[in-house]
Amino acid sequence: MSDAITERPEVTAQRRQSRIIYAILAGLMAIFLLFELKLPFLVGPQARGLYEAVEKVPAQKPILLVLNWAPGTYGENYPQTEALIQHFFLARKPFAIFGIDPVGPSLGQEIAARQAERLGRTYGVDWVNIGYRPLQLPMILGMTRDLPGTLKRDAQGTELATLPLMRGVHSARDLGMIIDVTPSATLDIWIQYFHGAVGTPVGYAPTAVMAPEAYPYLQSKQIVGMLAGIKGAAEYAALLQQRPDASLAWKYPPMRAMNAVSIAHVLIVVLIVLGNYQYFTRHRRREEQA
Amino acid sequence: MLALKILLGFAAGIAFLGLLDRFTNTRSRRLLMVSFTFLGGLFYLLEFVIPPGTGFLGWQAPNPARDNFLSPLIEQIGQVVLVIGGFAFGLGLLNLAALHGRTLLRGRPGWVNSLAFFVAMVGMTVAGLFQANSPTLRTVHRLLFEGLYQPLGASVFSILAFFITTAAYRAFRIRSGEATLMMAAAFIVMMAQVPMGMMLTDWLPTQGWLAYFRIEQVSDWLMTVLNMAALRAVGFGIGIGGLAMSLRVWLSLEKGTYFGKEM
Repeated sequence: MSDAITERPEVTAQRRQSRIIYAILAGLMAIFLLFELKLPFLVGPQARGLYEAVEKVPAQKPILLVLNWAPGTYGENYPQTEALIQHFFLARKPFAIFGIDPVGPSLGQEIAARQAERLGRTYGVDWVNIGYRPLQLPMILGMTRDLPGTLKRDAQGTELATLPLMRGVHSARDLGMIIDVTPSATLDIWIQYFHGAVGTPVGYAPTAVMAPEAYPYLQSKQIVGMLAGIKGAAEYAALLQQRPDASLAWKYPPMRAMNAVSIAHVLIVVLIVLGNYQYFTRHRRREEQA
Repeated sequence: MLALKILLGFAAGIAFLGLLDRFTNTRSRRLLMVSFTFLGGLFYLLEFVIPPGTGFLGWQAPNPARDNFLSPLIEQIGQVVLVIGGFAFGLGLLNLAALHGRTLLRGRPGWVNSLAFFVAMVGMTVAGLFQANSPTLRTVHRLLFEGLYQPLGASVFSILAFFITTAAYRAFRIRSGEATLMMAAAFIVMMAQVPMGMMLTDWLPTQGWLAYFRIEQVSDWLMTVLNMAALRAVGFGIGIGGLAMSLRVWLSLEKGTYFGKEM
Protein backbone atom coordinates (compact mmCIF):
# COMPACT_ATOMS: atom_id res chain seq x y z
CA MET A 1 0.00 0.00 0.00
CA SER A 2 2.79 2.36 1.02
CA ASP A 3 4.60 1.50 -2.25
CA ALA A 4 1.55 2.56 -4.22
CA ILE A 5 1.43 5.85 -2.37
CA THR A 6 5.15 6.54 -2.91
CA GLU A 7 4.84 5.67 -6.63
CA ARG A 8 1.92 7.99 -7.24
CA PRO A 9 3.86 11.28 -7.70
CA GLU A 10 6.11 9.56 -10.25
CA VAL A 11 3.11 8.25 -12.20
CA THR A 12 1.50 11.68 -12.07
CA ALA A 13 4.72 13.25 -13.34
CA GLN A 14 4.92 10.72 -16.17
CA ARG A 15 1.33 11.47 -17.16
CA ARG A 16 2.06 15.17 -17.13
CA GLN A 17 5.14 14.62 -19.28
CA SER A 18 3.10 12.55 -21.77
CA ARG A 19 0.49 15.27 -22.05
CA ILE A 20 3.15 17.91 -22.67
CA ILE A 21 4.74 15.74 -25.39
CA TYR A 22 1.31 15.10 -26.99
CA ALA A 23 0.55 18.82 -27.02
CA ILE A 24 3.95 19.75 -28.52
CA LEU A 25 3.64 17.07 -31.22
CA ALA A 26 0.05 18.00 -32.11
CA GLY A 27 0.91 21.72 -32.21
CA LEU A 28 3.99 21.29 -34.39
CA MET A 29 2.25 18.90 -36.78
CA ALA A 30 -0.72 21.26 -37.15
CA ILE A 31 1.56 24.24 -37.92
CA PHE A 32 3.56 22.30 -40.52
CA LEU A 33 0.43 20.85 -42.12
CA LEU A 34 -1.18 24.27 -42.42
CA PHE A 35 1.80 26.20 -43.80
CA GLU A 36 4.00 25.08 -46.68
CA LEU A 37 7.76 25.41 -46.21
CA LYS A 38 10.41 25.13 -48.89
CA LEU A 39 13.05 22.73 -47.56
CA PRO A 40 15.95 21.09 -49.43
CA PHE A 41 14.79 17.85 -50.96
CA LEU A 42 16.45 15.24 -53.17
CA VAL A 43 14.66 12.57 -55.23
CA GLY A 44 16.06 9.12 -54.42
CA PRO A 45 16.85 6.37 -56.95
CA GLN A 46 13.90 4.20 -55.83
CA ALA A 47 11.20 6.76 -56.72
CA ARG A 48 13.02 7.73 -59.92
CA GLY A 49 13.22 4.05 -60.90
CA LEU A 50 9.46 3.63 -60.56
CA TYR A 51 8.74 6.87 -62.42
CA GLU A 52 10.97 5.88 -65.34
CA ALA A 53 9.56 2.34 -65.45
CA VAL A 54 6.01 3.75 -65.71
CA GLU A 55 7.14 6.04 -68.53
CA LYS A 56 8.45 3.00 -70.45
CA VAL A 57 5.20 0.98 -70.23
CA PRO A 58 3.73 0.56 -73.75
CA ALA A 59 0.44 2.46 -74.21
CA GLN A 60 -1.45 -0.71 -75.23
CA LYS A 61 -0.49 -2.59 -72.05
CA PRO A 62 -2.52 -1.56 -68.97
CA ILE A 63 -0.94 -1.19 -65.54
CA LEU A 64 -2.50 -3.18 -62.70
CA LEU A 65 -2.70 -0.81 -59.73
CA VAL A 66 -3.17 -3.03 -56.68
CA LEU A 67 -4.59 -1.04 -53.76
CA ASN A 68 -4.31 -3.07 -50.59
CA TRP A 69 -4.70 -0.27 -48.09
CA ALA A 70 -7.44 0.92 -45.77
CA PRO A 71 -8.03 4.24 -43.97
CA GLY A 72 -5.56 3.22 -41.24
CA THR A 73 -2.67 4.11 -43.55
CA TYR A 74 -4.45 6.98 -45.30
CA GLY A 75 -1.65 9.43 -44.47
CA GLU A 76 0.93 7.54 -46.53
CA ASN A 77 -0.94 5.43 -49.07
CA TYR A 78 -3.45 8.08 -50.21
CA PRO A 79 -0.80 10.56 -51.50
CA GLN A 80 1.12 7.64 -53.11
CA THR A 81 -2.03 6.49 -54.94
CA GLU A 82 -2.93 10.04 -55.95
CA ALA A 83 0.60 10.63 -57.33
CA LEU A 84 0.57 7.38 -59.32
CA ILE A 85 -2.92 7.94 -60.76
CA GLN A 86 -2.06 11.48 -61.83
CA HIS A 87 1.06 10.15 -63.55
CA PHE A 88 -0.93 7.46 -65.42
CA PHE A 89 -3.48 9.99 -66.64
CA LEU A 90 -0.86 12.59 -67.65
CA ALA A 91 1.33 10.04 -69.45
CA ARG A 92 -1.73 8.35 -71.02
CA LYS A 93 -0.99 4.97 -69.44
CA PRO A 94 -4.22 2.96 -69.09
CA PHE A 95 -4.62 1.29 -65.71
CA ALA A 96 -6.88 -1.09 -63.80
CA ILE A 97 -7.51 -0.70 -60.06
CA PHE A 98 -7.64 -3.97 -58.17
CA GLY A 99 -7.42 -4.94 -54.50
CA ILE A 100 -7.13 -7.87 -52.14
CA ASP A 101 -8.25 -5.53 -49.33
CA PRO A 102 -12.01 -4.80 -49.44
CA VAL A 103 -11.61 -1.05 -48.91
CA GLY A 104 -8.62 -0.22 -51.14
CA PRO A 105 -10.39 -0.21 -54.53
CA SER A 106 -13.20 2.02 -53.17
CA LEU A 107 -10.62 4.55 -52.01
CA GLY A 108 -8.84 4.35 -55.36
CA GLN A 109 -12.15 4.78 -57.20
CA GLU A 110 -12.69 8.13 -55.46
CA ILE A 111 -9.21 9.39 -56.46
CA ALA A 112 -9.36 8.08 -60.04
CA ALA A 113 -12.90 9.41 -60.67
CA ARG A 114 -11.93 12.88 -59.38
CA GLN A 115 -8.72 13.04 -61.40
CA ALA A 116 -10.38 11.57 -64.52
CA GLU A 117 -13.04 14.27 -64.41
CA ARG A 118 -10.41 16.98 -64.01
CA LEU A 119 -8.18 15.70 -66.81
CA GLY A 120 -10.97 14.52 -69.14
CA ARG A 121 -10.22 10.78 -69.08
CA THR A 122 -12.81 8.08 -69.79
CA TYR A 123 -13.81 5.06 -67.72
CA GLY A 124 -13.28 1.82 -69.61
CA VAL A 125 -10.76 3.41 -71.98
CA ASP A 126 -8.22 5.11 -69.72
CA TRP A 127 -9.02 3.33 -66.49
CA VAL A 128 -11.19 0.64 -64.92
CA ASN A 129 -11.90 -0.47 -61.38
CA ILE A 130 -11.95 -4.26 -61.12
CA GLY A 131 -12.69 -4.01 -57.41
CA TYR A 132 -11.95 -6.37 -54.55
CA ARG A 133 -11.25 -10.10 -54.65
CA PRO A 134 -10.27 -12.16 -51.58
CA LEU A 135 -6.61 -13.19 -51.56
CA GLN A 136 -6.51 -16.83 -52.62
CA LEU A 137 -3.57 -18.49 -54.32
CA PRO A 138 -5.71 -20.24 -56.97
CA MET A 139 -7.18 -16.88 -57.97
CA ILE A 140 -3.71 -15.36 -58.31
CA LEU A 141 -2.58 -18.33 -60.43
CA GLY A 142 -5.74 -17.97 -62.53
CA MET A 143 -4.99 -14.27 -63.07
CA THR A 144 -1.57 -15.09 -64.51
CA ARG A 145 -3.13 -17.43 -67.08
CA ASP A 146 -6.53 -15.94 -67.88
CA LEU A 147 -7.04 -12.55 -66.27
CA PRO A 148 -10.51 -11.61 -67.62
CA GLY A 149 -11.69 -15.24 -67.23
CA THR A 150 -10.67 -15.30 -63.56
CA LEU A 151 -11.80 -11.80 -62.55
CA LYS A 152 -14.78 -11.75 -64.97
CA ARG A 153 -16.38 -8.36 -64.09
CA ASP A 154 -15.38 -4.88 -62.93
CA ALA A 155 -16.66 -3.26 -59.72
CA GLN A 156 -19.81 -2.06 -61.54
CA GLY A 157 -20.62 -5.53 -62.87
CA THR A 158 -19.51 -4.93 -66.48
CA GLU A 159 -17.84 -7.88 -68.26
CA LEU A 160 -14.11 -7.08 -68.31
CA ALA A 161 -13.68 -8.52 -71.80
CA THR A 162 -16.14 -5.91 -73.18
CA LEU A 163 -14.18 -2.90 -71.87
CA PRO A 164 -11.89 -1.30 -74.52
CA LEU A 165 -9.00 -1.09 -72.04
CA MET A 166 -9.09 -4.85 -71.36
CA ARG A 167 -9.59 -6.05 -74.93
CA GLY A 168 -5.95 -6.97 -75.50
CA VAL A 169 -5.48 -8.42 -72.01
CA HIS A 170 -5.61 -12.21 -71.83
CA SER A 171 -3.05 -13.07 -69.17
CA ALA A 172 -0.50 -11.40 -66.89
CA ARG A 173 1.87 -11.27 -69.89
CA ASP A 174 -0.38 -8.56 -71.38
CA LEU A 175 -0.02 -6.26 -68.38
CA GLY A 176 2.51 -3.44 -68.67
CA MET A 177 3.29 -3.41 -64.96
CA ILE A 178 1.92 -4.19 -61.50
CA ILE A 179 2.20 -1.61 -58.73
CA ASP A 180 1.29 -2.69 -55.21
CA VAL A 181 0.27 0.15 -52.86
CA THR A 182 0.10 -1.48 -49.45
CA PRO A 183 0.94 -1.46 -45.75
CA SER A 184 0.99 -5.30 -45.76
CA ALA A 185 3.50 -7.96 -46.80
CA THR A 186 1.82 -8.68 -50.16
CA LEU A 187 4.82 -7.93 -52.40
CA ASP A 188 5.95 -11.58 -52.53
CA ILE A 189 2.75 -12.57 -54.36
CA TRP A 190 3.46 -10.31 -57.33
CA ILE A 191 7.15 -11.18 -57.41
CA GLN A 192 6.59 -14.95 -57.27
CA TYR A 193 3.59 -15.39 -59.52
CA PHE A 194 3.79 -12.41 -61.88
CA HIS A 195 7.40 -11.26 -62.16
CA GLY A 196 8.94 -14.71 -61.59
CA ALA A 197 6.51 -16.69 -63.74
CA VAL A 198 5.76 -14.36 -66.65
CA GLY A 199 8.19 -11.45 -66.23
CA THR A 200 5.67 -8.66 -65.53
CA PRO A 201 7.57 -5.67 -64.04
CA VAL A 202 6.58 -4.95 -60.42
CA GLY A 203 6.59 -1.59 -58.61
CA TYR A 204 6.06 -1.15 -54.87
CA ALA A 205 4.56 1.64 -52.78
CA PRO A 206 4.61 0.54 -49.13
CA THR A 207 4.30 2.45 -45.88
CA ALA A 208 7.67 3.61 -44.53
CA VAL A 209 7.86 0.81 -41.93
CA MET A 210 7.46 -1.87 -44.62
CA ALA A 211 10.03 -0.38 -47.00
CA PRO A 212 13.24 -1.95 -45.53
CA GLU A 213 11.94 -5.43 -46.44
CA ALA A 214 11.92 -4.51 -50.14
CA TYR A 215 15.59 -3.55 -50.53
CA PRO A 216 16.78 -7.07 -51.48
CA TYR A 217 14.21 -7.10 -54.31
CA LEU A 218 15.34 -3.67 -55.51
CA GLN A 219 18.96 -4.81 -55.75
CA SER A 220 18.00 -8.01 -57.60
CA LYS A 221 15.82 -5.89 -59.96
CA GLN A 222 12.74 -7.94 -59.06
CA ILE A 223 11.04 -4.63 -58.38
CA VAL A 224 11.67 -1.70 -60.70
CA GLY A 225 11.23 1.02 -58.09
CA MET A 226 9.64 1.96 -54.80
CA LEU A 227 7.79 4.81 -53.12
CA ALA A 228 8.67 4.48 -49.44
CA GLY A 229 5.88 6.07 -47.41
CA ILE A 230 5.11 9.76 -47.58
CA LYS A 231 8.73 10.49 -48.60
CA GLY A 232 8.22 8.37 -51.72
CA ALA A 233 4.98 10.20 -52.52
CA ALA A 234 6.72 13.59 -52.12
CA GLU A 235 9.59 12.43 -54.36
CA TYR A 236 7.12 11.25 -57.00
CA ALA A 237 5.26 14.57 -56.77
CA ALA A 238 8.57 16.40 -57.35
CA LEU A 239 9.19 14.27 -60.46
CA LEU A 240 5.66 14.93 -61.74
CA GLN A 241 6.20 18.66 -61.20
CA GLN A 242 9.11 18.55 -63.66
CA ARG A 243 6.89 17.27 -66.49
CA PRO A 244 6.10 19.80 -69.24
CA ASP A 245 2.43 18.71 -69.14
CA ALA A 246 2.26 18.85 -65.32
CA SER A 247 -1.31 19.68 -64.33
CA LEU A 248 -1.48 18.51 -60.74
CA ALA A 249 -4.17 18.81 -58.08
CA TRP A 250 -3.72 17.25 -54.67
CA LYS A 251 -6.28 16.51 -52.01
CA TYR A 252 -3.43 16.11 -49.52
CA PRO A 253 -0.21 17.73 -50.88
CA PRO A 254 2.59 15.19 -50.16
CA MET A 255 5.27 17.86 -49.60
CA ARG A 256 3.26 19.48 -46.81
CA ALA A 257 2.78 16.10 -45.11
CA MET A 258 6.51 15.43 -45.62
CA ASN A 259 7.38 18.62 -43.71
CA ALA A 260 5.05 17.63 -40.87
CA VAL A 261 6.75 14.21 -40.68
CA SER A 262 10.07 16.09 -40.76
CA ILE A 263 9.32 18.00 -37.60
CA ALA A 264 7.99 14.86 -35.90
CA HIS A 265 11.28 13.06 -36.65
CA VAL A 266 13.28 15.99 -35.27
CA LEU A 267 11.10 16.02 -32.14
CA ILE A 268 11.65 12.27 -31.63
CA VAL A 269 15.43 12.72 -31.89
CA VAL A 270 15.35 15.64 -29.42
CA LEU A 271 13.23 13.58 -27.00
CA ILE A 272 15.60 10.59 -27.22
CA VAL A 273 18.52 12.89 -26.35
CA LEU A 274 16.56 14.51 -23.50
CA GLY A 275 15.39 11.15 -22.16
CA ASN A 276 18.95 9.81 -22.14
CA TYR A 277 20.31 12.96 -20.52
CA GLN A 278 17.71 12.64 -17.75
CA TYR A 279 18.49 8.92 -17.35
CA PHE A 280 22.25 9.42 -17.03
CA THR A 281 21.90 12.39 -14.66
CA ARG A 282 19.67 10.33 -12.35
CA HIS A 283 21.99 7.34 -12.63
CA ARG A 284 25.01 9.45 -11.67
CA ARG A 285 23.13 11.03 -8.76
CA ARG A 286 22.16 7.59 -7.42
CA GLU A 287 25.75 6.40 -7.69
CA GLU A 288 26.98 9.46 -5.81
CA GLN A 289 24.40 8.92 -3.05
CA ALA A 290 25.41 5.23 -2.76
CA MET B 1 -31.66 -13.13 -59.23
CA LEU B 2 -28.04 -12.96 -58.03
CA ALA B 3 -29.19 -12.57 -54.42
CA LEU B 4 -31.44 -15.66 -54.85
CA LYS B 5 -28.53 -17.68 -56.25
CA ILE B 6 -26.31 -16.61 -53.33
CA LEU B 7 -29.02 -17.54 -50.82
CA LEU B 8 -29.61 -20.91 -52.49
CA GLY B 9 -25.87 -21.61 -52.61
CA PHE B 10 -25.50 -20.65 -48.97
CA ALA B 11 -28.48 -22.85 -47.97
CA ALA B 12 -27.10 -25.79 -49.98
CA GLY B 13 -23.68 -25.34 -48.35
CA ILE B 14 -25.19 -25.28 -44.84
CA ALA B 15 -27.33 -28.35 -45.66
CA PHE B 16 -24.26 -30.21 -46.94
CA LEU B 17 -22.28 -29.37 -43.80
CA GLY B 18 -25.28 -30.41 -41.67
CA LEU B 19 -25.50 -33.79 -43.45
CA LEU B 20 -21.78 -34.34 -42.99
CA ASP B 21 -22.14 -33.56 -39.31
CA ARG B 22 -25.16 -35.90 -38.98
CA PHE B 23 -23.86 -38.92 -40.86
CA THR B 24 -20.13 -38.92 -40.16
CA ASN B 25 -18.14 -39.49 -37.00
CA THR B 26 -14.95 -37.73 -35.88
CA ARG B 27 -12.71 -40.35 -37.49
CA SER B 28 -14.33 -40.19 -40.92
CA ARG B 29 -14.52 -36.37 -40.79
CA ARG B 30 -10.78 -36.25 -40.14
CA LEU B 31 -10.17 -38.69 -43.00
CA LEU B 32 -12.20 -36.42 -45.29
CA MET B 33 -10.22 -33.31 -44.29
CA VAL B 34 -6.87 -35.10 -44.62
CA SER B 35 -7.82 -36.46 -48.08
CA PHE B 36 -8.99 -33.06 -49.40
CA THR B 37 -5.89 -31.33 -48.02
CA PHE B 38 -3.58 -33.92 -49.59
CA LEU B 39 -5.36 -33.93 -52.96
CA GLY B 40 -5.39 -30.10 -53.08
CA GLY B 41 -1.66 -29.92 -52.36
CA LEU B 42 -0.91 -32.75 -54.81
CA PHE B 43 -2.79 -30.99 -57.61
CA TYR B 44 -0.75 -27.79 -57.29
CA LEU B 45 2.52 -29.70 -56.87
CA LEU B 46 1.91 -31.81 -60.00
CA GLU B 47 0.70 -28.81 -62.00
CA PHE B 48 3.95 -27.02 -61.11
CA VAL B 49 6.41 -29.87 -61.77
CA ILE B 50 4.87 -31.60 -64.85
CA PRO B 51 6.43 -30.08 -67.99
CA PRO B 52 4.24 -28.09 -70.42
CA GLY B 53 2.73 -30.15 -73.25
CA THR B 54 2.33 -33.31 -71.13
CA GLY B 55 -1.02 -35.03 -71.65
CA PHE B 56 -2.87 -37.75 -69.75
CA LEU B 57 -5.07 -40.42 -71.42
CA GLY B 58 -5.45 -38.22 -74.48
CA TRP B 59 -6.32 -35.19 -72.35
CA GLN B 60 -4.27 -32.17 -73.52
CA ALA B 61 -4.22 -28.50 -72.52
CA PRO B 62 -5.50 -26.07 -75.21
CA ASN B 63 -2.12 -24.28 -75.07
CA PRO B 64 0.46 -27.12 -74.81
CA ALA B 65 3.42 -24.75 -75.32
CA ARG B 66 2.62 -23.18 -71.94
CA ASP B 67 0.43 -25.65 -70.01
CA ASN B 68 0.21 -29.31 -69.01
CA PHE B 69 -3.03 -31.34 -68.77
CA LEU B 70 -3.76 -30.06 -65.24
CA SER B 71 -3.32 -26.34 -65.99
CA PRO B 72 -6.84 -25.71 -67.43
CA LEU B 73 -8.35 -26.82 -64.08
CA ILE B 74 -6.62 -24.00 -62.17
CA GLU B 75 -9.29 -21.46 -63.06
CA GLN B 76 -12.20 -23.72 -61.95
CA ILE B 77 -10.46 -24.66 -58.71
CA GLY B 78 -9.74 -20.95 -58.17
CA GLN B 79 -13.48 -20.20 -58.36
CA VAL B 80 -14.24 -23.01 -55.87
CA VAL B 81 -11.66 -21.63 -53.43
CA LEU B 82 -13.16 -18.13 -53.83
CA VAL B 83 -16.57 -19.52 -52.84
CA ILE B 84 -15.06 -21.25 -49.80
CA GLY B 85 -13.38 -17.93 -48.90
CA GLY B 86 -16.82 -16.29 -49.10
CA PHE B 87 -18.12 -18.83 -46.58
CA ALA B 88 -15.36 -17.79 -44.18
CA PHE B 89 -16.76 -14.22 -44.29
CA GLY B 90 -20.27 -15.56 -43.68
CA LEU B 91 -19.15 -17.66 -40.72
CA GLY B 92 -17.31 -14.66 -39.27
CA LEU B 93 -20.46 -12.55 -39.51
CA LEU B 94 -22.61 -15.29 -37.94
CA ASN B 95 -20.13 -15.69 -35.11
CA LEU B 96 -20.05 -11.93 -34.41
CA ALA B 97 -23.84 -11.71 -34.60
CA ALA B 98 -24.25 -14.62 -32.14
CA LEU B 99 -21.75 -13.13 -29.69
CA HIS B 100 -23.17 -9.59 -29.74
CA GLY B 101 -26.75 -10.87 -29.95
CA ARG B 102 -26.32 -12.73 -26.63
CA THR B 103 -24.78 -9.65 -24.95
CA LEU B 104 -27.61 -7.46 -26.23
CA LEU B 105 -30.50 -9.79 -25.33
CA ARG B 106 -29.20 -10.47 -21.81
CA GLY B 107 -28.36 -6.80 -21.22
CA ARG B 108 -24.80 -7.62 -20.18
CA PRO B 109 -22.28 -4.81 -19.53
CA GLY B 110 -21.19 -3.31 -22.84
CA TRP B 111 -24.54 -3.99 -24.57
CA VAL B 112 -24.36 -0.51 -26.09
CA ASN B 113 -21.28 -1.59 -28.05
CA SER B 114 -23.14 -4.66 -29.30
CA LEU B 115 -26.05 -2.45 -30.40
CA ALA B 116 -23.56 -0.21 -32.22
CA PHE B 117 -22.19 -3.30 -33.96
CA PHE B 118 -25.64 -4.31 -35.29
CA VAL B 119 -26.56 -0.77 -36.33
CA ALA B 120 -23.23 -0.34 -38.15
CA MET B 121 -23.36 -3.75 -39.80
CA VAL B 122 -26.95 -3.50 -41.01
CA GLY B 123 -26.60 0.18 -42.00
CA MET B 124 -23.44 -0.33 -44.01
CA THR B 125 -24.68 -3.55 -45.65
CA VAL B 126 -28.01 -2.05 -46.75
CA ALA B 127 -26.44 1.22 -47.93
CA GLY B 128 -23.62 -0.60 -49.72
CA LEU B 129 -25.77 -3.22 -51.44
CA PHE B 130 -28.61 -0.99 -52.60
CA GLN B 131 -26.87 2.37 -53.17
CA ALA B 132 -27.11 1.96 -56.94
CA ASN B 133 -30.94 1.94 -56.73
CA SER B 134 -31.51 4.89 -54.44
CA PRO B 135 -29.94 8.38 -54.28
CA THR B 136 -30.76 8.55 -50.55
CA LEU B 137 -28.90 5.31 -49.86
CA ARG B 138 -26.00 6.58 -51.98
CA THR B 139 -25.80 9.65 -49.74
CA VAL B 140 -26.04 7.46 -46.62
CA HIS B 141 -23.26 5.21 -47.98
CA ARG B 142 -21.02 8.21 -48.71
CA LEU B 143 -21.73 9.61 -45.26
CA LEU B 144 -20.90 6.31 -43.57
CA PHE B 145 -17.88 5.39 -45.70
CA GLU B 146 -16.25 8.75 -46.44
CA GLY B 147 -17.60 10.71 -43.49
CA LEU B 148 -17.25 8.15 -40.72
CA TYR B 149 -15.29 5.00 -41.58
CA GLN B 150 -12.35 6.69 -43.33
CA PRO B 151 -11.65 9.40 -40.71
CA LEU B 152 -12.17 6.90 -37.86
CA GLY B 153 -9.69 4.44 -39.36
CA ALA B 154 -7.11 7.14 -40.05
CA SER B 155 -7.55 8.65 -36.56
CA VAL B 156 -7.03 5.32 -34.78
CA PHE B 157 -3.77 4.69 -36.65
CA SER B 158 -2.55 8.27 -36.19
CA ILE B 159 -2.63 7.82 -32.41
CA LEU B 160 0.49 5.69 -32.92
CA ALA B 161 2.51 8.86 -33.59
CA PHE B 162 1.84 10.04 -30.04
CA PHE B 163 2.77 6.69 -28.49
CA ILE B 164 5.97 6.45 -30.55
CA THR B 165 7.02 9.96 -29.49
CA THR B 166 6.50 9.32 -25.77
CA ALA B 167 8.13 5.88 -26.11
CA ALA B 168 11.17 7.54 -27.71
CA TYR B 169 11.49 9.75 -24.63
CA ARG B 170 10.93 6.98 -22.06
CA ALA B 171 12.22 3.73 -23.52
CA PHE B 172 15.14 4.42 -25.86
CA ARG B 173 18.11 4.26 -23.45
CA ILE B 174 21.76 3.98 -24.48
CA ARG B 175 22.77 1.37 -21.92
CA SER B 176 25.19 -0.73 -24.00
CA GLY B 177 27.40 -0.70 -27.09
CA GLU B 178 24.64 -2.41 -29.13
CA ALA B 179 22.09 0.19 -28.04
CA THR B 180 24.52 2.96 -29.06
CA LEU B 181 24.94 1.40 -32.51
CA MET B 182 21.18 1.07 -32.87
CA MET B 183 20.70 4.66 -31.79
CA ALA B 184 23.26 5.90 -34.33
CA ALA B 185 21.68 3.88 -37.16
CA ALA B 186 18.18 5.02 -36.16
CA PHE B 187 19.32 8.65 -36.07
CA ILE B 188 20.85 8.49 -39.56
CA VAL B 189 17.92 6.63 -41.17
CA MET B 190 15.27 8.78 -39.48
CA MET B 191 16.92 12.06 -40.37
CA ALA B 192 17.71 10.97 -43.93
CA GLN B 193 14.00 10.32 -44.45
CA VAL B 194 13.04 13.97 -44.05
CA PRO B 195 14.09 17.32 -45.58
CA MET B 196 15.06 18.75 -42.17
CA GLY B 197 17.51 15.89 -41.71
CA MET B 198 18.89 16.36 -45.22
CA MET B 199 19.66 19.96 -44.26
CA LEU B 200 22.34 18.65 -41.85
CA THR B 201 24.61 17.63 -44.73
CA ASP B 202 23.18 19.85 -47.44
CA TRP B 203 26.47 21.78 -47.50
CA LEU B 204 28.26 18.70 -48.91
CA PRO B 205 28.40 18.36 -52.73
CA THR B 206 25.99 15.98 -54.51
CA GLN B 207 28.77 14.66 -56.80
CA GLY B 208 32.27 13.29 -56.03
CA TRP B 209 33.63 11.30 -53.11
CA LEU B 210 32.41 13.80 -50.49
CA ALA B 211 28.84 13.07 -51.59
CA TYR B 212 29.13 9.65 -49.91
CA PHE B 213 29.06 11.45 -46.56
CA ARG B 214 25.71 13.11 -47.18
CA ILE B 215 23.18 11.75 -44.65
CA GLU B 216 20.87 10.31 -47.33
CA GLN B 217 23.84 8.47 -48.90
CA VAL B 218 24.91 7.00 -45.55
CA SER B 219 21.29 5.99 -44.87
CA ASP B 220 21.05 4.38 -48.32
CA TRP B 221 24.23 2.40 -47.60
CA LEU B 222 22.81 1.23 -44.25
CA MET B 223 19.58 0.12 -45.93
CA THR B 224 21.02 -1.48 -49.05
CA VAL B 225 24.05 -3.20 -47.49
CA LEU B 226 23.67 -3.89 -43.76
CA ASN B 227 19.88 -4.05 -43.61
CA MET B 228 19.67 -6.11 -46.81
CA ALA B 229 22.18 -8.71 -45.60
CA ALA B 230 20.22 -9.18 -42.37
CA LEU B 231 16.90 -9.32 -44.22
CA ARG B 232 18.19 -11.93 -46.67
CA ALA B 233 19.30 -14.11 -43.76
CA VAL B 234 15.91 -13.71 -42.08
CA GLY B 235 14.10 -14.38 -45.38
CA PHE B 236 16.15 -17.53 -45.96
CA GLY B 237 15.24 -18.83 -42.51
CA ILE B 238 11.56 -17.99 -43.00
CA GLY B 239 11.61 -19.75 -46.38
CA ILE B 240 12.99 -22.99 -44.96
CA GLY B 241 10.59 -22.79 -42.02
CA GLY B 242 7.68 -22.18 -44.41
CA LEU B 243 8.64 -25.18 -46.51
CA ALA B 244 8.74 -27.44 -43.45
CA MET B 245 5.42 -26.04 -42.19
CA SER B 246 3.76 -26.46 -45.62
CA LEU B 247 4.86 -30.10 -45.75
CA ARG B 248 3.45 -30.72 -42.26
CA VAL B 249 0.10 -29.14 -43.22
CA TRP B 250 -0.05 -30.91 -46.60
CA LEU B 251 0.64 -34.33 -45.10
CA SER B 252 -1.61 -33.55 -42.07
CA LEU B 253 1.24 -34.14 -39.64
CA GLU B 254 0.47 -30.93 -37.77
CA LYS B 255 -1.18 -31.36 -34.36
CA GLY B 256 -3.17 -28.77 -32.43
CA THR B 257 -6.58 -27.11 -32.17
CA TYR B 258 -7.17 -26.69 -35.90
CA PHE B 259 -5.56 -29.91 -37.06
CA GLY B 260 -5.81 -32.99 -34.86
CA LYS B 261 -7.96 -31.88 -31.92
CA GLU B 262 -11.76 -31.80 -31.79
CA MET B 263 -12.97 -28.22 -31.17
